[in-house]
Amino acid sequence: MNAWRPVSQPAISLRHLSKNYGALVAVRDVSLEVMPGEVFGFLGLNGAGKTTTIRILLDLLRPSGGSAALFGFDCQRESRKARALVGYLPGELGFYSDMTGQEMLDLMARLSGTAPSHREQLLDRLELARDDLRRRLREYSTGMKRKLGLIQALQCDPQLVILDEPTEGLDPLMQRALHEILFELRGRGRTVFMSSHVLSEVERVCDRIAVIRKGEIVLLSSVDEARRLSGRIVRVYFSRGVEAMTLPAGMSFIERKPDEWMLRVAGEAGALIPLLAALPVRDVEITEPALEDVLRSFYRE
Amino acid sequence: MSELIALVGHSLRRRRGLFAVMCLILFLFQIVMIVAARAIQNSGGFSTLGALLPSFMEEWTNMAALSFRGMVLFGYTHPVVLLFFIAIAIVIGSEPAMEIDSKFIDLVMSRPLARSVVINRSIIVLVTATIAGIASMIAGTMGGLALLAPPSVRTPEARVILSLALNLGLIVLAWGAVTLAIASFANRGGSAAAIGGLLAFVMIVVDYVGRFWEAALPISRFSPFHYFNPFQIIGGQPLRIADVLVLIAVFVAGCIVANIAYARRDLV
Repeated sequence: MNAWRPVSQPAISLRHLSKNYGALVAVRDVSLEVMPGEVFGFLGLNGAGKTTTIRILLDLLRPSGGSAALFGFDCQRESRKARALVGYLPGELGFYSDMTGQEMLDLMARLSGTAPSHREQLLDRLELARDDLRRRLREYSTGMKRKLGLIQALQCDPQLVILDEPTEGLDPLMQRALHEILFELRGRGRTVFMSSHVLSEVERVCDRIAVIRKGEIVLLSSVDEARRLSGRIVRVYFSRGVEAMTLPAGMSFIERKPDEWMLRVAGEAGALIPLLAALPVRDVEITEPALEDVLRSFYRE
Repeated sequence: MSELIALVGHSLRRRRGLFAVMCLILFLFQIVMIVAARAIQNSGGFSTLGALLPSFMEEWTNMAALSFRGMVLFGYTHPVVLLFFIAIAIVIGSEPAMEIDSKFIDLVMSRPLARSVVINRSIIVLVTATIAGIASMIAGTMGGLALLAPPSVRTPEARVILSLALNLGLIVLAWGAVTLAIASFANRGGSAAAIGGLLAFVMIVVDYVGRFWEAALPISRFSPFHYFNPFQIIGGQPLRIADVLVLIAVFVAGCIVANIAYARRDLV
C-alpha cells in the first residue's frame, strides 16, 4: 500500500474544489498546492470550510466539483493509496471511552498497515506515561486525549500529516514540544497541513498559509509575505518638534506628534533614510507587524 | 484483510460483555424451559394446560407446547427470545451509523481502508454473534436434556432442534442485514436503531395479522417474519427450503444495499 511518489508531486493539490450541501456552499472553487517538506497553515473562522476541505482530502466527503490529490493520487479514485501516506488528527476526537490508550494506538497502527516506529519517541516527547496507556480513555483529560490523538497520527511516520487544531487543549509546554516535532518533521522532508485558530502558532511554525472565508480562499502566501502586506511599523523619536511633511510613496502616517511619528512602511524602508537624515532624529524603532493584525482583515469581509 | 480482522476484533472486544450476557441469558433460558417442562410433566399439568389453551393458539402452535418435548422446543420460538435476538441484531447492524455519530469513523477511514471493510466487519460480527447465541441455546438445550429430562419422556430430536435454530438464526441475520442497510444511509446510530426497531415491530405485527386473517396474507408475505415458522417444525414438518431461501435472500440483499450505499455516501 505504501506507494509514495517522488517529491516532484505536490503533497496536496486542490483544483477548483467545491462542496455543496443543497443550497449551502461549504467550499467554493478552492485551488492550492502544498509541496513536500512544507508546513502549511490553513486558517479561517469556524464554518469557513477548513474541516470540509480536510474531510474531502481523506475521502470522508465527496466533492461536488473539482478534484483533490495527495502526492498525485486522486483522493476519490485512488483514495486508499492517498490515505496510506497520511497521518490525521481530527479536530473532534472520536475515541471510544471504554478503550484504553494502548488499544487505540494499536488499532490505529494495525489499520495503517505500518509499524508504529515513532510511538515510543512520541510518548516521551509528549510526556504521556506508559501507565496512562493502560487506562480507559474516559479517565483521560482533554490534553491527554489530544496527545494520544497526535501520537496515533504520527506514530507510523507518515509522509503527510494533517492536523485539525493540533494544540487545542495542550498546555504551553506541550505546545512547544509539538512545535519542535513539527520542525523536525519538516527537517525530514515530511509535509504538515494544519488548521489552527492560534495565529501566533501559525506564525511560528508555518512556511505558508491560506485563509479560507465562506468556502473561498482569500489569501494564499508565505507567512513573511502575509506579514509584509500590512507593512512595518516605524516609530521615529525627535529631539525637538518637527514640521509635518509629505511622505514618499508606500509610507503613511499612523500617528503624528511634533516629537514622535508612527509610520506604516510598505516594502523597503530604505527610502525613509534620506528623509530622516535631514531631521533631528533621536531614535528609530522598526516593528514587524504581527500576522494576527494582517489576517484579521482577511477573516472578515 | 488484516484491517478487516483488526476491525472485527475491535468490535467484538468492545461488545464482549454484551455478547457474553446474551449467550448466558439464552443458555439459561433453555435450561429454565426444561426445568419448567419437567415440573409440569411430573405434575401431569400438560393436559390441564391443553384445556385452557384458546382454539386459535391451538391452531397456530399445532398444540406444540403441550408436551415436554413441545415446551422445550418452545424456547426457540418464545417471543422474548426472538425480540432479544432481534434487539442484539439491531445494535450490531446500526454500528456503522453509530461510528459516524461518534466521529470514530473519521479516525478509522483516515487509514487506508476500503469502505466495504466497515460494512463487512459488521456482517462478520452479526454472523458471529448469531452463531454464538444459537450455539448457546443448543448447548443449553442439550445440556439441560442430558441432566434434567425425566426418564421415559419423549425428548426433542436433534434434527428438529437444529431446524428451529437455523430458522431462528436466519431471521436474526436477515433483520440484522436490514438494519445494516438502514444504518448505511443514516447519520445517527440512534436513528438507525430506532428505525430498525420500529420497522421490526411493524413487520412482526404484519406477520401475526397475516397468520390469523387470511385477507392480510398477501401483505404479510413482505414481512421477513412470515418466513419464520417454528411451530410447523415443532409440529413435525421439515424446515421449508423456501423460507430458508427467502431469509438468505433478505440477508444478502441487506448486505449488498449496505455496501453500495455506504460506499457512495458522505461520512458525516
